[in-house]
Amino acid sequence: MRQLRALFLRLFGTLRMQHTRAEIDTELSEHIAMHIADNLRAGMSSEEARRQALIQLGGEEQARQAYRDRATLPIVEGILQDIRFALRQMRKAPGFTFTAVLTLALGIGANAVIYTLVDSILLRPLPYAQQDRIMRVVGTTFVVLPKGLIRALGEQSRAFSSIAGFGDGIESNITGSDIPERVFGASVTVNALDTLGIHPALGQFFSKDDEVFGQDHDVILSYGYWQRHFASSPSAIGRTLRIDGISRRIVGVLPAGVRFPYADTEFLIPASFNRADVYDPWRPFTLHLFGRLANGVAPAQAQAELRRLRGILVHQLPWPMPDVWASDMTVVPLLESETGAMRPRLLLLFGAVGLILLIACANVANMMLARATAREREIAIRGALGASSRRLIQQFLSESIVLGLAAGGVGLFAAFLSLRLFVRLLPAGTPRVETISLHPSDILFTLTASILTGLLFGLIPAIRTASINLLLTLRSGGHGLVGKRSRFGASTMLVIAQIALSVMVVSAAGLILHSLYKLSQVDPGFHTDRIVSAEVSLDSSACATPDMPQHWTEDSTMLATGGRCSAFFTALASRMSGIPGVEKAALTDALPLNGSYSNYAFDAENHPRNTQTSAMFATSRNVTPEYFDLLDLKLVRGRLLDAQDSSGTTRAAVINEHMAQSLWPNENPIGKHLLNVKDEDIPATWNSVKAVEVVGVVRNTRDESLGDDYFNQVYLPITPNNAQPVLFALMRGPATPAEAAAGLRRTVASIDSLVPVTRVQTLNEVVANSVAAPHALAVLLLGFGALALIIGAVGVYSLIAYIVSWRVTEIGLRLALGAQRWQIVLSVVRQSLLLAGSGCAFGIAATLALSHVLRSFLFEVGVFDPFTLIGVPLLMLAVALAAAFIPARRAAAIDPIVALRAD
Amino acid sequence: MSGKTDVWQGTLALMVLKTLETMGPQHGYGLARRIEQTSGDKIQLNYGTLYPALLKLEQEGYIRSEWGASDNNRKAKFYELTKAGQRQLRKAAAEWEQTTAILARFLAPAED
Repeated sequence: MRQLRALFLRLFGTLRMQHTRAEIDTELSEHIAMHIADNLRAGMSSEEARRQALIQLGGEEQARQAYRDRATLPIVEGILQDIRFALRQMRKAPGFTFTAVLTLALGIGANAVIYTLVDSILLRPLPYAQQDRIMRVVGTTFVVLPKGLIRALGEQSRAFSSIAGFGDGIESNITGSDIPERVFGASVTVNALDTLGIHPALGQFFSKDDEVFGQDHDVILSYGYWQRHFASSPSAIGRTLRIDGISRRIVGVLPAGVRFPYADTEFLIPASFNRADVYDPWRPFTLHLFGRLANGVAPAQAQAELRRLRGILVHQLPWPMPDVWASDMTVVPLLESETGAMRPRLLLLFGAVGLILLIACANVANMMLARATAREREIAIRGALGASSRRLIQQFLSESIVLGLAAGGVGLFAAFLSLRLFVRLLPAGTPRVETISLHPSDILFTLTASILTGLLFGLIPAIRTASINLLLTLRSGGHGLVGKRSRFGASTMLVIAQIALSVMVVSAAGLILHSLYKLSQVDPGFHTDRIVSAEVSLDSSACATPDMPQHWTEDSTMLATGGRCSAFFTALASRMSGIPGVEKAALTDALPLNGSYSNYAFDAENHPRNTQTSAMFATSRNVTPEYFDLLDLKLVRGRLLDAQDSSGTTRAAVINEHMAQSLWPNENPIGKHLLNVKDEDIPATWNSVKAVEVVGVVRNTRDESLGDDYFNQVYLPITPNNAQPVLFALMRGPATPAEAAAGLRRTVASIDSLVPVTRVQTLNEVVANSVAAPHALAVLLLGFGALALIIGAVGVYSLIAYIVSWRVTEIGLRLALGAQRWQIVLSVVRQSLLLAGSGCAFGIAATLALSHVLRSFLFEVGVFDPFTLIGVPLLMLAVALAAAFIPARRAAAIDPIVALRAD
Repeated sequence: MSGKTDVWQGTLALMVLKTLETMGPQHGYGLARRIEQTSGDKIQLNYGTLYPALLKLEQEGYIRSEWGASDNNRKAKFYELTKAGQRQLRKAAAEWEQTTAILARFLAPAED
């Protein structure tokens, strides 16, 4: 304690150095004066009196030094001295300081931004209690599970203290005021929020009663929705909202900052059980599984237990399930499951900016080396005056750390300013994008990186400078006639490393850019120009569809309004083609290429299976007959859907080539039958009454992304029996998107004034969105590649310019001896090209060595991509030529007389 | 050297504290002379080491200092014992007595 107090006071004394010194000096000189006075009284001569006083003090300066050392912290004092010295040096060379700080700031700033993204998206904990104990359960043989299975697992599991589920985000109409609003919500099991370990900001969460069908008309609002629609008023609790035609009582509000299960979720409704229906717990399959691990249980143990329990519980389902179904339940931390897809891309970017920082370091190290050479005499003199090489190294490192920190400050500020811009470059649907912000930990990271950067680029110059030969340096006075080659050894290595690193970043950017180009050349299989799509949404209770989640409807209203949506969409389909500027119009329940298709599990004629095996899968779209013509989706065999199919009197289906080929490779698919497994009364048993007949085969299109392989696709007519509440209207013609949307709104309003038209976009935008992720990655990497190239070019330029300035005398002599100016230019340019060439060789080799990192980001482009492997070195050589231009001109302009006289 | 003893490590602080207790507030030079006198001029004090020792005691809170005027009207820093210093003095004195007592037993001629 006393030691700590002393330490603190000494630190304080260090900071008030001037004052401390003055006090010490006064006290000591008064001491000497008093002692002399005493000695004089004792009869000494004045000279002897002074001498004795100083002897007994042990020397005035020594005493003062010992006193001072106790008053302050000598180590801190040394550091402060070094910092002051460094700042003075920086002020003395503003050009160097500016270039060095700018170069480093670019590197550090880029790192600060990407680290902030990595931290915000991948690292920062979710806002739940002990969030690392919350696990998602995922698998490839299943996506969602029935609520009954989740409840049963929760009751049986010992590894999880709680197991819960949440549904997909479903857009609903909320009415309460006059304008209907489309809002995303999700259903959750009643224990879901308690499993997360969060507490309501207001009211309460779901109770056990909400699990009972009929008593479940409650809703929990997101904090944001409550703020916007209820002005954060506590009186919101107890009020009712009409969600898709069902009145629900507001019971609670989620805490601020909690976005669950999705970023756009504004309300939660409970998943309830209908006790009157024994099948109810087992359908529909809509819930994603998550849970909280019990104390001391590892994820792997929990996973083993789930797989064991699944084997037992699967027999509780009232129908047999395929053996493989849900047998690969995998336990993954919730955070990882949300951000897993983003991780490799962010880490790739992090790698790229890391390389850029290394390039910047090499650059500044080189500049420091050049400067150190110019300061050789100064350093030699300090060495001769007794500065130890340890002290000199410390001083040089302090200089580079101060430089690094200055650059860190600038970089951090730039990162702060540009963060929003980078966030906007991220593809839509990036997880946790709303939480991205500069946190103290990011600032700490940046400052640490700045200090390490300073150490890194300062080390080589510091060691080299501290070990110079004093005698030689002092004697030679300046440089000799010919610049010594060895003196540029370290610099040359640094520049080659710089170019190699630039080549790595630019190659990565080039490969991904080439992939993006290949992706854009992919034929989506349909026409995309001048087509506008928009979502038309009725209340989900407006249609009675057998496969709709039951808790989204009220059975009393089901039958009464069942015909309403069919009538609405039939009217819409017939009136849409009358919209001015629209030549062709169609309706579909899923757009092409945006991943919104439905899954169609089916059995096919002549493909019997037993209940232990899984049914086949296709993606399905319900469409009006005009869909094919509007998209130019070409018919290969048979016929397209027609108006009679839409009336529901036939049972027709159109499939794609891929499906026809895989099901009936050498047969005519026309006239074959498919059976949706939902229509099988007994699983895996053919039912010819419900089967649909394949009437046509069309070309393949892609469902989710241009990079996907083709998959089975089924097109079914929209009939009164399978009507859906939400359909996309597609309109093709000369009308602009705005005109088409306005026309559609008028048409919709003429049928039902309360139906919203939302999400207007062109089909080209839909296609562009499907490549948003690789596009964003390519844009960012290209930006970083350009940055690497610029810093690298500055590096080449400064080295060549420096070498030329050293060779002035030599060049002058050569010219005087009859060398031609073009020969001089050639020698300078050759040097630059040699640097670039060797840098390229190393860079390409390193890129190839790291190719496994890149492979997963590439599409139809190998790592040995000739476009990149030739293009990037060519670019580098061009940059080297450009960088050599000014130094070469200066070399050629040297006047031999001036040059030779100068020394 | 001429029969005078150097101050042992660690004992200077104790001497300073004791002298301040007996004499009250005192400046550095006065303290030094007084310590020499008390020792019967047996101690040769290096005055240069006194000041860092004083500062250490002050930093640890055992003494405090204040600028004032000396007898012959010179500017001087006066040191004074604090409460913590008094406690420390008693503690250190007791420890010292114990140490010397133990050593005395070792050095005493064997009696039996």
